[in-house]
Amino acid sequence: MADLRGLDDEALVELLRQRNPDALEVLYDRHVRPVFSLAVKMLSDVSVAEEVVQEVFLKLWRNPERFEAGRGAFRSWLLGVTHHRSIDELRSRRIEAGHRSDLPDDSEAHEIVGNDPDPADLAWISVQLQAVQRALDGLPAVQREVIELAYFKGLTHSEIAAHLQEPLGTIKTRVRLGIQKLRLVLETERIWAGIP
Amino acid sequence: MTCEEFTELCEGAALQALDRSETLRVEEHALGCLACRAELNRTRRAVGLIGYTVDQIEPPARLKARIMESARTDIAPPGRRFSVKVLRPAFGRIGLLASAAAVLLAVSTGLLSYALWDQLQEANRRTEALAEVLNIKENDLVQLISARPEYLTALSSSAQAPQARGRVYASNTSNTALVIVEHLPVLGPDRTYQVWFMEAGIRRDGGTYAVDPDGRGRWVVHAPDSISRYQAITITEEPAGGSSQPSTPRILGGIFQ
Repeated sequence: MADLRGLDDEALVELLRQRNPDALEVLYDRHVRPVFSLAVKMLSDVSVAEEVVQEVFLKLWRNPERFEAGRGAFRSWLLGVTHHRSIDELRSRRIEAGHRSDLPDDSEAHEIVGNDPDPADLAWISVQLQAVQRALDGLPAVQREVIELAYFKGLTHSEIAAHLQEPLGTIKTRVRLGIQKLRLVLETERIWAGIP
Repeated sequence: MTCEEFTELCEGAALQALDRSETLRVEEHALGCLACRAELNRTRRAVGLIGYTVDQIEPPARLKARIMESARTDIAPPGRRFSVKVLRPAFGRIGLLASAAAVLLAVSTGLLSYALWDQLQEANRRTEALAEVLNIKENDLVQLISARPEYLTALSSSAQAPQARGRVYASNTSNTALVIVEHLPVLGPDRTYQVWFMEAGIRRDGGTYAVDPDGRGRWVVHAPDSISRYQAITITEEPAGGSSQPSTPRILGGIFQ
């Protein structure tokens, strides 16, 4: 196990293909905090977030070939899978509840005590967090608002338009311009180049 | 969809903010257009970084224990697999598959102890009941649960049936999937629903299926090859007996993440 901790993510994913559970454990320890945090933030329900995280890691375990190294850093990919699954959960929940405009309450997120995280890992996450937050903060408020409603609440263009009582075309334009600017900043600063 | 139309929707697609029909059109275009697919992946990578801005929360220790236990159970050598965990599905009832699958695997090992006999009897009863509830053949059910399905994707509707929805459960290592659909229009006797698996823009036949009088269907679908080969699944309405290629627009569809 100690030896595996020195391997990078791609090497560990290769070990997953060989059905090495120790590799999964190292990947879990390295990445679970941002994955879990995103699921809790989006779902506002710790127990459902746990199930989503479990599903994400077991999907990785069973189908490591789904991660293509060329498509970006492993953690960004893992966050993408978590985001996708959480949106499915949010939309399913809204359809079942019949209240498409109801938004979950952020205040329901809980503080949880668990294993001591790796300080170096926490510091690294913090650096990335600040870099992306700066990029988001650099966007006009109206663009940031629609991006956050779509990303964290899982709302579609149409749902955001209804929620904000703005024309659909306006919302689409804000999303498009906002993401283009965000991408430009992140690419220019090569923020993802150093993401583990 | 043209590349110009794709460009208009690319950012919304990366953010998963498009309506269902737009999402499927964008994904279908991306599957067949290398340049647009690369653009979508780059945009997704930038969007994915937004997840970093969340305040970090420490997960409970039990979560790691649960995941590692499931993973180690997965790699146990044949003959030792007694426990199968299927995650909480939104459509319900699939959880029953877990216990039935566990016992089926145990039976296949030949190592089932006498003490497990009662569990087997109970699981057999559950399997029969589940087959009846799902209205699918018991053999299909056995094949499905032996493949240890997990949630793969939601099915998005199109203008053809905007109320329709569905989910797909499957194992990537198997060619068998459980497709659950709701609110599909009930078709006449000369029409049928046909499932297609998309591989690099080419649609492979997944068989024809019907819905009940309430527009619901629970279909055990057999793909031509392992599910992991395919990028998406779609459902169209076709003449009874099916078609060699889709002859009508997609009614439901989903992308395998």
